[in-house]
Amino acid sequence: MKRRLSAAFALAAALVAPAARADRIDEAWARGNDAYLRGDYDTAVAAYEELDRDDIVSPDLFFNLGDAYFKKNALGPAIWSFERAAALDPDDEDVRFNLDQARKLAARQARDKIEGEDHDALWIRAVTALSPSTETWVFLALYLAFFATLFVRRRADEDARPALAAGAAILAGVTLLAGAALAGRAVLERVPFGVVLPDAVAVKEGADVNYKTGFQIHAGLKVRLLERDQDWLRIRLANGLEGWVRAKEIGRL
Amino acid sequence: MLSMPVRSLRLSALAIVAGLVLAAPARAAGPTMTIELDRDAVAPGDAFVCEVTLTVGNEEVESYHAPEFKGLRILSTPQVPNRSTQMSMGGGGTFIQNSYSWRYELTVPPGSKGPFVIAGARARVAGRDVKADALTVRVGASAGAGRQTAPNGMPPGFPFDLLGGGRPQAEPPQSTGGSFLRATADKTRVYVGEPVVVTWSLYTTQRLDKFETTTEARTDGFWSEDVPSTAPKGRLAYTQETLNGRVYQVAPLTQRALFPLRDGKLTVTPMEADVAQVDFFGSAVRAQHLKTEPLTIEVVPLPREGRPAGVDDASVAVGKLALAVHADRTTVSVGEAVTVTVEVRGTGNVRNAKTPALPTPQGWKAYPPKENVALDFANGVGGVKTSEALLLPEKPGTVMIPALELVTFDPETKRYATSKSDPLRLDVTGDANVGAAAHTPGAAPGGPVVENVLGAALRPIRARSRLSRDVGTTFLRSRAFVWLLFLPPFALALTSIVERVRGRLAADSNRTRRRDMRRLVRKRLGAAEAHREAGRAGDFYIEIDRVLRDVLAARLGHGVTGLRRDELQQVLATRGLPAELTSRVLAELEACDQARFAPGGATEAAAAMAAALERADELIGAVEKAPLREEASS
Repeated sequence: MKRRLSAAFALAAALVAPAARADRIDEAWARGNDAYLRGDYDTAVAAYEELDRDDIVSPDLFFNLGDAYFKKNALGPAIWSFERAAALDPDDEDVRFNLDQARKLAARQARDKIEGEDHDALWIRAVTALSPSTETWVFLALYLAFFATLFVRRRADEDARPALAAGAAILAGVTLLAGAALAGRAVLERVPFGVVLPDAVAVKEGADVNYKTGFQIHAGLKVRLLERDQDWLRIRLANGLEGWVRAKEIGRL
Repeated sequence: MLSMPVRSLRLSALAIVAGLVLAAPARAAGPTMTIELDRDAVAPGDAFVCEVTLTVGNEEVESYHAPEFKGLRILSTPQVPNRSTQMSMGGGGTFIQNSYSWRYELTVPPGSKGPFVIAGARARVAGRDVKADALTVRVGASAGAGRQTAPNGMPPGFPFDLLGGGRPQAEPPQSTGGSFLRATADKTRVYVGEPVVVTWSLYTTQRLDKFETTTEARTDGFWSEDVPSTAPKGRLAYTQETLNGRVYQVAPLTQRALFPLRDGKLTVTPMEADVAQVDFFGSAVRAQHLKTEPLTIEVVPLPREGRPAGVDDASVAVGKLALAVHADRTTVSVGEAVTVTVEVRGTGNVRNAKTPALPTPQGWKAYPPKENVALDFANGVGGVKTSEALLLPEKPGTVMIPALELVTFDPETKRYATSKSDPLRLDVTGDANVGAAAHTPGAAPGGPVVENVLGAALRPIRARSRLSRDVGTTFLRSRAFVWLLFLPPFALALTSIVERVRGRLAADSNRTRRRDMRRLVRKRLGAAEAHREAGRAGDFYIEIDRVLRDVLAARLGHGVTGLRRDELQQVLATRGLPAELTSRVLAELEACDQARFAPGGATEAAAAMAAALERADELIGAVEKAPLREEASS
């Protein structure tokens, strides 16, 4: 009898738990939005972070969290949040706009920037010059045009075939370039990056606080993550400078 | 160029030391908040400054609430506080003191008597509430600003480096030392709200090494805006000018646009400054004290004639100004915010132009607007004033924001005009339930507890009632993209293969014929088998006859129906079918004819049919394999 009762309770709990979780998520979301709209950004951040801790993955959540951090003038976490939203939905124009605004503000606030710290390598700038959707559509248009030319050539008169073959060759070349840009973007997505969270972080020459400080970086700077040693991360700036920072000071993308 | 005098450096060092010493008791006292005015009493129409200062140690300031200015008109509010940090060392450690100050520019509305109380400024610092005492504003004759600012934002007493001045040629009229200050206004009679640009300049005929403003001009009764200077900061840019027949080197010190807040004769008080030359040892020689003449501006009220009925002075925008309304997007989903901007643009009194209130469409929530003013002095005094409001649709549909109106008065033409914006259409898509009740009652539209939600050029949050958990996906990551990649080469290859096979098949007509013939033979033999099993002998032999003739027709390339047996024999002989096979075929056809009408028992008939079927099958195989000659062309 007891076993049956326990099983019934377990079944009921299993059925009720997802609904309760959904209610909790909606409640926290509404609480965060309401607090934000009232100008209570601390409460808004707390509510949004509650959802983040609950492993909710949503571009809207990270977008709102970024806005709330921005309003608190916490530019590092704001940029990190916008970057996370952008990673989930790279074509969201609002996310790109706010990320750009936060980066500009952070750049103005950082007084002693290192030369080239945020100047990405040429290939990164090349593959991210256009938005992902624009790159995709350009590539697809060229790709389909190339095959359409091949189809037409098969049925064309002998006289027209050389011209169509030349057109197909040109299209093939341009399509390869566009495809290389897409492939580069795919490679870039596999590279681990992080964002500096505090206003200023001292970068050490080794994975310990007693090592000499090599240089200083500022909130919102996007860095490449190379390796981890306990609580320390080895990072690399866009200009090639490397060093160690505490893992908690970096928001991983 | 001379550096700062040594004495000043010493004084600065002493001041720093004194600051460090004085910082110790301050840090011990904990967070403090003060509120002060820049004068003791304020005359109606005068602009004055109220400054709230919060002094803390290294604690975090969690929140700040502005004071209430009941009965006073707010001319400007700070977006962010000014922050200064002071560090002191001693007692075995380093102590930090942070000061935050919020500067509010206010005025007493004309006709108000006061006194007014400014109260309610408070902050929360590291979990503790800190409050400022209430402050009473007395209304009376203005005592003038207590704190003054030097031109270009320099503090009073900041020594300008004046080396590089021009050649002195004549004595100026107001100074025995060859230098004088002059204040000039571009107009001396204006309407209330009409800008007057006043320029303070230094005229000199001799080399000057030091310049120090000692008293700034007061502009009581005016709202004042500094006109940005193009001169390098900290230096004076000289031009040459002839005045009363004498050539002077002239350096503009500062320029301000003054907007009269009330009518009557308003006075701009003199600016005073000390100038001097510096000798070889750095000591000031030939020092002079300079002073401008006061300026009197006659301000007349806005005319009543021609003014639209029901419009008061405060609602009239003075200048050549135009009104426009636009939105950052005109099609949105339920729950997505729209930023609607009311914009007043042109020349004139842009800052004090009253932007018309934006009506809230039914089924929408509205949050208090944020005003922003960007002045532009490139073509006269002007700029743009914007009022950005956040609107949140709660149900789908189309709403129209009607045309807004702004009454303007152009001082040049002395006429009133009404500027109208275009109506704005907003389309909302989606489900009403999606955007409903995203906010608590505390967030009622326009309610006093709702703070402005618009950040500086930041797109607003997504305020949908339910969190969208769909991870955004791009076409690049979708399966459709992969399919589109594979489809064209696959289609091309398939087309190529199909065309090649079809070509090969078309070239082999004999094979096609044989294939068709086999299909026909299977069909006929199947039908014959069915007749045999059913015991229909007549129908069985008809099918056997037909299949033999069809096979012959297929091999010969033409029909054989209707041919007599001797004719058929001749045709087969002509095409080279072996005589033995021809005889067997003809015998079988003959047997079929006879069997169709021959009487007999059921058992014998069944046995005969089985034998006939076997023979027909054998004959068909033989005919198919037999070599034939090509038909001779006629």
